[in-house]
Amino acid sequence: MAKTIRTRRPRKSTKREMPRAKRKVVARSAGLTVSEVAKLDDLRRELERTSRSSSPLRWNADPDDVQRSVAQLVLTLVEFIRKLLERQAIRRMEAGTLSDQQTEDIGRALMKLEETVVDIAARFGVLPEDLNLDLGPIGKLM
Amino acid sequence: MSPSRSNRPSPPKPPRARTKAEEILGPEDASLLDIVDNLLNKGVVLNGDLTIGLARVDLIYARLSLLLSAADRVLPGEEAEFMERHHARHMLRKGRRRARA
Amino acid sequence: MILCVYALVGSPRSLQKVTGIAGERLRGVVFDGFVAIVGEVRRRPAASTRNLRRYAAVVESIAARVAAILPVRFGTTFDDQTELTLALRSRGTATRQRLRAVRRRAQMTIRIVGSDPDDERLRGQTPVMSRSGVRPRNKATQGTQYLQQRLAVLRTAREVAGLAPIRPAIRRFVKDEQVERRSGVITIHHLIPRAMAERYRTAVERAAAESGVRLFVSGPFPPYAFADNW
Repeated sequence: MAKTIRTRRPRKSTKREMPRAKRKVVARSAGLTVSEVAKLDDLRRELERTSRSSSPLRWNADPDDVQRSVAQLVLTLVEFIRKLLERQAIRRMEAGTLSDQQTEDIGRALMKLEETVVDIAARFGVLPEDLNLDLGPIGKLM
Repeated sequence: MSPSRSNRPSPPKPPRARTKAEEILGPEDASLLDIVDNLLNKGVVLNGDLTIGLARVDLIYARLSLLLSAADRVLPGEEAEFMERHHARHMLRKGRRRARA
Repeated sequence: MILCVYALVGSPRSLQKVTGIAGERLRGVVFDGFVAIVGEVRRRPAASTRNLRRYAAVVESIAARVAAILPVRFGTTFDDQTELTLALRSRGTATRQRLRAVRRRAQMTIRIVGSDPDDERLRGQTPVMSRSGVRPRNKATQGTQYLQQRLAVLRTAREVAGLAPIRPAIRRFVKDEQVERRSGVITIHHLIPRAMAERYRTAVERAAAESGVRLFVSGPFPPYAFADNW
C-alpha cells in the first residue's frame, strides 16, 4: 500500500482555537523499530476492520438450520447479559458494596447460568465459541 | 519536538531527520492509529444498527438505542448522597475560610 | 438532513467558531444536567481517513472550550431530534457521573509492542465461555470462589507487567486507567489532569529509558476511553 509522505502541516482550525501553551504533540515515535511500527499499523487495520464489520450488524439465519441459528442468537444474547452481570458483580465485590451472602448468592447464580447456557447450546449443536456476536464497542466485553 | 513555550512566533526550524517510524507511517499517520482507536473503538455509544434476515435475504432493519449503566451508579439515592457530601465539603471549606479571615 | 452527535458536555460555552465535519454550524440540545453537541449532515459519515481526522478535530475544538467533555463514537447519527431525545433522555445520571469523572482531565495513551507474556495465559481465560475449572471443595462458598476466580482473571488482564517500572513515576497523575490487549499490542489509557500532560509524558519517557521498557506515548486527547461506562 503506497503511502504519501508529507511534511506535517498544522491544521489551521485547531491551531487558531487552541491557546499556544496547550498545543500538543500528538505522538512520539521514540525510536521504534520497523517491526514495532508494523505491529501498530496492524492494530490500526484491525480496528478499522472491526468497525466496518460491525456496522451495520447483520444476523442472518442459515436456511438449512434455522433452529440452530435462532438458538445461537438467543444464547449469545443471554451470555452477553450474563457477562455484563458478572462484570458488574465483580466490580461491586471489589468495591465492597456486596455482603458476603450476596456475593455467594450472585456467584452461584452466575455459575449455574453459565452451565445452563452451555448445556442448552450443546443440545442444539452450538459450540461455546459460537456464542460471540460482534456488538461493536460493547462486544469487547466478550 | 516539545511545544514552544514563548509567545513570540518562532523562526522556522530546519527539518529534522525523519525517524524510521515516520518513514514507514508518515508523520501524519503516526497519529492515525490513535484517531482510529479513539473514534471507532471508544467514546459514548448511543445507538447501533442491526439487520436481521433469513436465507441470506435481509428482512428487518432495527435501530437500537442503548442504555446500559451500572445500577449502583444510576440509582437516584446514590446521586443525592454524592451531592450532599459535595455540598457539606463546600460549606466546611467556606466555614474554614471565614474563620481564617 | 440527519443529526450527527459529536459530544456530550456539561454546559456549553460559545461554539460559534466551531464547525462540524461537513462545515455545518453546531448547536447544543439541552438535557437534564448535560448538553448534546450536534450538527446537521446529509448522510451518516463514512469512516474515511479524512472524515475521521475532521471528526477528531471537531471534538478537539469543543474540548478546548469546555471543562468536561464525553466524546461520542464516530458516526453516531439520529434521524431527528425526537429520536435523539428518546435515546438521551434516560441517560442523565450516568452521563452526569461520567462528566464529573472527566472534568478538566485528558487521556494519555501508552502502547507497548512486542511479545505479551500474559497473552498465552489469558487466551484460555477470556473466551466467550470460560469454565472455572477446578470444582471448589467447599460447597457453601462455591459462588464466592467462582467470582473470585473471575476477579483473578480480570486482574491479570488489567496488570501490565511492562508498566510496573513506570508506575511509581506517574502514580500521582493517574486518575483512572483502561487496559486493552489487541493484536499483540498492549494499550494503556490514563486519565490525568489536563495541565499535567507534558509532565506525565516526561515522567513516562524518563522512566522508560531508565528501565529499558520500549513504549510509545501519545496524547493528550479528549477522554474517549473514559467516556462510556464499559
